[in-house]
Amino acid sequence: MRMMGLAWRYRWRCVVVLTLQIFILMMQIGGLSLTGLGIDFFRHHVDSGAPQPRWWFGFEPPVAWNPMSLVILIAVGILLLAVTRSLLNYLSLVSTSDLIQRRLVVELRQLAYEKLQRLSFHFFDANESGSIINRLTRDVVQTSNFLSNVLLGLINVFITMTVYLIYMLNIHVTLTLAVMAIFPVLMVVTVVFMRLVRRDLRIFHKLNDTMILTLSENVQGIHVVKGFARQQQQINKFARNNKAVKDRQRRIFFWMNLFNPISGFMTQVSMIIVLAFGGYLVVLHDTDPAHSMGITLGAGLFVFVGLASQFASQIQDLAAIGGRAQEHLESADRVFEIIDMPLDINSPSQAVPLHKSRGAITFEAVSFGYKTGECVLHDINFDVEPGQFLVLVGATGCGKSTLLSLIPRFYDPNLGKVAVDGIDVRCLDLDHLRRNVGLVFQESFLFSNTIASNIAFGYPQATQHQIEQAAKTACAHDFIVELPHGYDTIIGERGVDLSGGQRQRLAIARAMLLEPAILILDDPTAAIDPDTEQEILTAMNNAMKGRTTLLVSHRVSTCRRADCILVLDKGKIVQQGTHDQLIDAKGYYRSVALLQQADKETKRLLDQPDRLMT
Amino acid sequence: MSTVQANSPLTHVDPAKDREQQTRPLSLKLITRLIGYMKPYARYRNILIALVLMRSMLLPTLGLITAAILNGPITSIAGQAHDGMALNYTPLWLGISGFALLCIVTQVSLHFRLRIAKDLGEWVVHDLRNELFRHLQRMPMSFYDRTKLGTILSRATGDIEAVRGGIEDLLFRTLLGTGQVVVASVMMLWVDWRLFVALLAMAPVLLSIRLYFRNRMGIAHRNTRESFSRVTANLAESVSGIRETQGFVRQRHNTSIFGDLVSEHATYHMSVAKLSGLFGQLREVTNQCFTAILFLVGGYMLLQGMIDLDVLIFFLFLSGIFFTAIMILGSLYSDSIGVMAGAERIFNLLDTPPQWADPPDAIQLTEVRGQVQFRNLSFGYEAQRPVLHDITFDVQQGQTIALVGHTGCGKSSIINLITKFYLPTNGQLLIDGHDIHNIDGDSLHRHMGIVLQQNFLFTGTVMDNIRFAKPNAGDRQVIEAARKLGCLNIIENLPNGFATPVGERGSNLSLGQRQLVCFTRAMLADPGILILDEATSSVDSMTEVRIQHALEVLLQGRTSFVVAHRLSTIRDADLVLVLNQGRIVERGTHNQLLAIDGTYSNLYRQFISSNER
Repeated sequence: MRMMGLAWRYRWRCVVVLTLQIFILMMQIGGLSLTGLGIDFFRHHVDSGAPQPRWWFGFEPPVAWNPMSLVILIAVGILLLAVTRSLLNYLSLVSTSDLIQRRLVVELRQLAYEKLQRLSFHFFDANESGSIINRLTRDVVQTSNFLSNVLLGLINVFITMTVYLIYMLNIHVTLTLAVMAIFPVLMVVTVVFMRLVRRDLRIFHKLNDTMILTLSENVQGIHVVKGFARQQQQINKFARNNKAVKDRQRRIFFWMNLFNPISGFMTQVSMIIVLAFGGYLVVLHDTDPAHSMGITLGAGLFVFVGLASQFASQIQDLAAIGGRAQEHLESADRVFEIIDMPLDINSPSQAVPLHKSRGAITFEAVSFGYKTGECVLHDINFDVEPGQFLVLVGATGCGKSTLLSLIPRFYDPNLGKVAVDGIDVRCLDLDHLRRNVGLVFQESFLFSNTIASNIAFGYPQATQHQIEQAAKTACAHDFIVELPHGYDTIIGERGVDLSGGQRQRLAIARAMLLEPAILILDDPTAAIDPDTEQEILTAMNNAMKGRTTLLVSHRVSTCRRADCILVLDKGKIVQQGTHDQLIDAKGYYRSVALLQQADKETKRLLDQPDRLMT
Repeated sequence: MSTVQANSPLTHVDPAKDREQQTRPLSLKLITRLIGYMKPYARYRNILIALVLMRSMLLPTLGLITAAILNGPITSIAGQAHDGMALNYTPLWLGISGFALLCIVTQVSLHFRLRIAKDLGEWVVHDLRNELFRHLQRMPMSFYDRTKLGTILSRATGDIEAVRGGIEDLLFRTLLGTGQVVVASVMMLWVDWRLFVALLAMAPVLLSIRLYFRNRMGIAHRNTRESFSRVTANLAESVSGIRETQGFVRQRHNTSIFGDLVSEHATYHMSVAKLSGLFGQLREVTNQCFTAILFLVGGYMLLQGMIDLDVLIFFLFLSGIFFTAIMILGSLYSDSIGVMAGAERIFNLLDTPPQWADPPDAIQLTEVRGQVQFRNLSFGYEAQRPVLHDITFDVQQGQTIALVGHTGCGKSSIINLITKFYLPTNGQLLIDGHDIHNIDGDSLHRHMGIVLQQNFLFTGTVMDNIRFAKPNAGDRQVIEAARKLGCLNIIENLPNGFATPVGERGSNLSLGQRQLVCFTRAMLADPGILILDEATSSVDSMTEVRIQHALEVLLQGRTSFVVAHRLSTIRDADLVLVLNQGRIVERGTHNQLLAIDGTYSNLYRQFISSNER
């Protein structure tokens, strides 16, 4: 239905394309008849006993005309028709692809992309990136082609078939019916085959994807494969995948190659009918030109043979369109799923603006689960005053990152509320809210772009000075200027592989450029080589100055400076307080802290004993 | 001074840099090698060649018969009628039966010709893919350092498909096309040589049109491809960086960038559509021209009494077949250069010998006790740039060795040598007294457990991934391994426990959870030598508390090499090796090294101060 709506918007272009098609059709039939006429003419000329050619529009060439000039007339006629037809064909092709490629595809891609940018993370959690990319590339093209291949294609085939049919009936009714007899059978056979093969094709695509996945994972995980000496198993696995693909492919080939000759043969059967029955009719006409059943050799039989074979190919087109329609529609579903998806996280209509937040954060009885029934966070309550420094501690998977992602509204809580500056985040203008929150993730994503563009990601209008300022705060300026092209170095290009620590400092600079009131650091040192951790810690310290900071960390040294530490376990806050308070209480925090301290013997050897603890 | 980034694109892609040669002139060597792959299926290949040759005669014959029926029996019966003779329909029925018979033969042979050709292509492709995969498994680690995943994948997809096309289509199309041209020519020559010569004069026109368009289409196609790769690269990063985009409120900006890219791509696409439309129509027009010219010349000759009508009808049918075949042959070259390029890339990969391989008489280790000796060993990834100099140390069975030093000091290189991922350049490395050169790599790996910082999980369940270390282990063994490590409850708490699927690069699990699965995987292998390369770096302290005891279990009784920054592991090591710029600068136990107050003490002090400032 959505497709019809799309087609309706472009209805005039569709009409143009269809009109062109009708003209093309007329030219085609004209060319064929002229050739037939020529044959009749020659035949009459050579064998005066043969019937007179029937000229068009009651035109009778004056007897005085040189036969050769008539030949030239016919030849030029054929040529003219052909040239016009090609011209029209070209126009039709270009206007179709203009409609599809330049309008529909572009429009659908932009719509889908714009939506994609705003969808909540539930969508990205549920769909692999490859599938999302496919929707915006292959599926969009398929969807647009629905208009040209299926809708326009169907109308076109019907018009063509009707015209052929009328023309054939006009030549000879019985002959037409005799020839037509085979086509319903051809139609049924084609449809059955398409069905058969489509199922196999779908399985084949799945098998093929599995095989490629095996290969790509093998390469990505080659350390593991070699490290556990699993090459042979991998070879066997790949060979199994490969064989499954081959067997399925051969099955498809078998059916297809059964189908092609059968449908070809059926077309030929109709040709046999034409030749036998039509031949008989020509003889009739020859013996008695007045016989009502007779047809001429050229304008009758020759043209008929041409028309019948064209007709057969139209039937096959029709079946192919039917087969493709399903695919197109499935693609359209995937595209429109994105375009029509409701935005579950959006600015409310009467959004409260938040130009410069103070940086106060409140969690009130917040519970959250990614799926209904699941509970990742349970009854979370806490307050952070402007400028305060809060550290979240807890085991893997306890809900720390989830908790942080509620503040910029990457998700909305199921129960309770999250408030910034005392206002429920769901009432705030979403863009304003997010501009006030600076984010640094565990593994920050940098775009394959220049360093400067990456830092200016959140504020593309930033001046070079502002960018450098942000880089300096994040302790990144020094290493940036040593890169081959300084700030204009493109990340990820040959030879410019930044270390984990450098990437994280760029991520901090990116957050700094926005001068956010709230800074969220989701374990930025987790994936970092410990040697370079120190540099990030300094960058973090600079960044935190004057901002409300929420940090996930395991470092006791960092926790020590926090205004408040929240210890999470299985989605609940189990301990809360400052380092000094928690170190005395028995619990997780204490055991972690002890693990990170040097033991007495070490301290003695390092010869700088209690100074460390103060 | 102030540059504005506002108009900067989201991603920079330079497809020209990754541009691979798309064409390769015909090469006899490549062709023979490709044909060689059909050898195991020689019977089918020969049947196919016979079929193709037969069909190249069938099609013109079919045209001939159609023309003959139209002209011969039908007109002659009519002629009989004029002459008042009794009508004799027999020739007509005979002709039509012959036609029907020939049709059946044509279609049956078409079925087998297509099927065998496709099967042959599929077999060859199947064998090539297996060969490719087996070859990849033999390549040493250094190959994977140099080669991008995308390159390998395109060998196994696009290039293989090109070869398939070459085998099942091009090769036999060449035979068929040539056969048809020859047969049709002979037939036409036989019927009337003058008309045929006139026809032949037109062939160069067709070919030159094709040549002209080939170049222009090539460029247009490349532009389209490259603009498309900009679209997809932008899209891919938009999806990967969606947190950043939403977090930094970049939606509108990104959308306009994307819009520009998509429009640009559409424009290139249009130019391809226009060119190919023009080409197709031009071809059509020239075909019609031929019919017209044939009509003119034939008509003239007919009127002059030089030929009969049947000759003209006959030529009208056969010239269609002749020119179709000529066009097929004309497009062969341009189609085949793509196939050649694909085949060459595949063969280049297959012909890259592994830099080294285990000697044929390599020692199969049935167990590894874990005695490791480095003797004056040096090593470099590239011959000119050694990263390890003169390394000598001895490890007894069951000892734990900690490797300490700054990034790039050579810690990971030592690990890469013990695992035989690389071979030493100079000096000796002995495992259980055998030189590593003479040890069968696989047998060594079967007794080794390796956990790296960025560990890789395969698509499948958690259970599958753990079992990777020991494919014949039962569920109970896997669960037991997890229990020993103390992470049984963590795994069981995953959404589906051991059956939790691990998605795209393990994205359903957190970093720490992923690492625990890798630990369990190593535990299940029950190795004689254990390697932990920064293995605990991404496990948070909370989780580390839980597995601390388990790590001790894991290390116990095994020779272990640990690259770690966590104090606990280093403190209990039997030997700490401190590396600096590829040399061992200090060695001893934790306490001994602290006592000499050198590099180690400094490193340690730095660590503590960052923790306890």
